[in-house]
Amino acid sequence: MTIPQNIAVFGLGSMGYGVASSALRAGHRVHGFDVAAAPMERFLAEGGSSGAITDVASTLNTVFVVVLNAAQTDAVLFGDNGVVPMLKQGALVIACATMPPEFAKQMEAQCNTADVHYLNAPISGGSIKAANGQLSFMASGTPDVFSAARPALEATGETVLELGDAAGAGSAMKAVNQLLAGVHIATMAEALTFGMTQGVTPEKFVEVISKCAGTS
Amino acid sequence: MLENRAPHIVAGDYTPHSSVNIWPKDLGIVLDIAKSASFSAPITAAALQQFLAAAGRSLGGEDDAAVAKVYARNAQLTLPGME
Repeated sequence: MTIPQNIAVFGLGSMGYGVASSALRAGHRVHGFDVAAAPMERFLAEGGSSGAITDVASTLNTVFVVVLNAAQTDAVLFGDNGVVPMLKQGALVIACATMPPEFAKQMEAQCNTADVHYLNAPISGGSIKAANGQLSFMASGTPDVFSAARPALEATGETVLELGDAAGAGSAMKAVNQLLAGVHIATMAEALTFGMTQGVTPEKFVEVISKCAGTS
Repeated sequence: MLENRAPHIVAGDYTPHSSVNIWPKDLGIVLDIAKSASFSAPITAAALQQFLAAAGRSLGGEDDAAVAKVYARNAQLTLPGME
């Protein structure tokens, strides 16, 4: 039985929207925020909770930040109308953007100064897994933070990889993963088109290479 | 990644499940970290350039498998769905 939490999700893009819907499906009260109006309206129509962040911040248990990068994470947490100063003591921030480990450590320190927990939790899995609540979290934070994060992580993720007891380790592993994923995609494109110059069709390429050692 | 993305090229379907634009950003972060660690990452740098070339061709909002279109154009190849 899920004990309903009050959750906010900042960033309703392809990943954040899935995080928000999954949390909603698990029985939590979820507020979705985005710079664009359209995804916020769509999420409200699907059962998201309404209310300005300035009104609801003090009720929140957990804030997911599913934006693009470090600068946007900083803006959501500590910029104009930043959410952290409005949160209650002991609330939790789950920061999912890809960012340098040093920046994650800085975010953790600033949250801790405000008596807010911080989980460094980059995500992997793509938009379909996000929508299905099957993300992988590459997470690091103190044991207290992990324990506070459990309901939200269980609602949105399938795998929680616990990588250390302080921010930074999650971001470091995410960077390793992104290096491989990006290089693999570009290399796949290079090999597929190289094959085409030699009469290997894209169909044959997929059929054969996916069963051979060069696959990824 | 091959098994996940190459079928998008075969189908000629570049609906963005993960977009080209993610990669100049994320590989840029990887290279920033590498630079601060005095770590040379030449393969990452090459991949980043190909995604940038795709973004420069206005493919930034397409699925990241569209990086194949950069190679196809350079070699005058016709990918599925581009006939």
